Amino acid sequence: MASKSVEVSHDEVPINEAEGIILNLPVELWIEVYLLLPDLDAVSLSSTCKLARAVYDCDLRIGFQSIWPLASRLLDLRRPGSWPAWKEQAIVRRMTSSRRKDDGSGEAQHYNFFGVWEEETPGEATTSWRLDGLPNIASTGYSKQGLLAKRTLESHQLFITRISLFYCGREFRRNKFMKQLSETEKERIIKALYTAVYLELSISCFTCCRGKNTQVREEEDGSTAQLLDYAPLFRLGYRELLELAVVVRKFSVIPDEAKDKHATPVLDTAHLRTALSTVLTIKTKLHYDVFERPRGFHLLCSPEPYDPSFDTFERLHSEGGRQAFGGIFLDCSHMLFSSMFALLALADQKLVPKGIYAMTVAAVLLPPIPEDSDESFFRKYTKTLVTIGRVWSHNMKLEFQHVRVSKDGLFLFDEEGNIVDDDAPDGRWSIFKIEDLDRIRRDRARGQAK
Amino acid sequence: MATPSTQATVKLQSNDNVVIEVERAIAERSVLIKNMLEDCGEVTDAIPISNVNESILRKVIEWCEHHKNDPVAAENENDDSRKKTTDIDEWDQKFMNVDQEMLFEIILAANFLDIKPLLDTGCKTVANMIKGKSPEEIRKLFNIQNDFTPEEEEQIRRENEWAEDR
Repeated sequence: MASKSVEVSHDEVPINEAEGIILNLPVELWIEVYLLLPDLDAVSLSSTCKLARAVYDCDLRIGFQSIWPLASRLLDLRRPGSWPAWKEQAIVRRMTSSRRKDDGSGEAQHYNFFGVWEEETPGEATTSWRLDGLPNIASTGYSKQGLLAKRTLESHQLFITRISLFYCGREFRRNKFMKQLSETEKERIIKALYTAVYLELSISCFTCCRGKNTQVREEEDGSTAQLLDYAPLFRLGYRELLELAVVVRKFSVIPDEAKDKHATPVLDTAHLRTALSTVLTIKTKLHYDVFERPRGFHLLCSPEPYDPSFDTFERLHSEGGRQAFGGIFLDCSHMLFSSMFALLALADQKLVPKGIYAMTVAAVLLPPIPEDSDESFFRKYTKTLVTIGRVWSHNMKLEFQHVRVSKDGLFLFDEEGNIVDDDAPDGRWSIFKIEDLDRIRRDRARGQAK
Repeated sequence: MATPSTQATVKLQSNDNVVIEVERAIAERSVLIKNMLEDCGEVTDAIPISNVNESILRKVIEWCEHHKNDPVAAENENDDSRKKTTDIDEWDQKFMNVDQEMLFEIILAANFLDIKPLLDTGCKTVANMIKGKSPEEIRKLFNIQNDFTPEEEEQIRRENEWAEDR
């Protein structure tokens, strides 16, 4: 599930004169109060009523006011979901203000928020970052014993943690690549990076757990299974997918030469990379087989499948001096890429040879899934995916099924243990690999048998 | 822009039509009034303070009188220094020792009149009232009605689990 996004404006604040006067405070003053509260007291206040919770949810990041001014400038405070402009301005002002100053005591200052804490020595510009709270968050983040436990709790915390670590971490400061970029180039990367983090936290919708210990290692009993919802990635266009591939390769994959130095990636995008490599492979193969190969050129695509570490991607787009997609964000190639993708979209519709790969052609290279798609759209789309999978699957097992899940991303099972569509009006359509669904069914059956 | 005025006092009119004459230096603790006076120059009529009634306006003026010699915080220091702690000096603590209705009216007035130090003091007072209390205690303190459904409460309990073990 996506991070919760609650909009509160002055007009929408429910005011009941008979109730507490504190409810009459405008939202910016609620924020002032939240900013003055330690984390746990802020949580307590947020648990008192809907208004307090809405403000808290909206302004979860205000706790970072002192520690990531750089990030706030770059990100423009756009978190997944909406953000009222007036609030954005108010908080940008706060977050971009100069850092807290030494009060003369000479003592180190501590800031703590959601398990990320900073110890700042007055006068020193650099900071060290610790993640002492994360193991605790991870251990309590999952539902205790559910067969299907959705990853919800940690989404906000991890989102904030990862973004803040990214911007404030040493890797960002030392990253020559980022330093050389123009503001517009940086903005494009930030947007893609933001999407990457958002997707990493939302596409991995389910965790199948068994037993009390959710931290059981998979190799011990194989009880934990990740189910990836591919629909969010199929909703994206080809260009956006390529941009994602560049950022995840650039920022979340440790190059081979650094692996022996025990380096760890700033952003862990394992789930996203698994799904992205599959979706990108499908789309790339379509482009190659349907569009490029018949015309005898090889510009965008590779006939090889992409691997989750995107080593293939890096190699293919770096060799021969082509550097094709490494430059997808750069100003100098922006117009060129835009024109190229526009031409491709046009060409796809006009020039795809009829009668060959009937289902493939019908799919017109799997266009992005519209947000309001109904079941018939998903049925056709999944059927196309299955057909493509059968043509190309080889070792990839590209068999998909569309399933309607609850608004919270939970499956509905019938009495026989089969996954059925959740017809609730606020449910949503998702796309899963059939082998993953089979596994979850088997795990559930085994769990019930015990 | 108008020529700077040398008038010693200004008149402020509350929303219940009471006119209070105060020293200009005191009134100018309010950034709103200060900007208005700078823009308009000599102001002989009472300045309407439409969002504030007489009793609250007098209370705000009392605070401004006491703090008239305080250094005005530089713009870029506002957010850093003023939010460092929730410590409130003794006089301000006594000043804020009022019923909740007046406390929040003072906060709203400070917000409207753009008197940041007073706004801070008010918000710090509220934060100090909240500190260390459970959600139920906070509800009782501020007479907040729990409008969560049982399902929503359960959801919030789950979302807050991370904080329980700390």
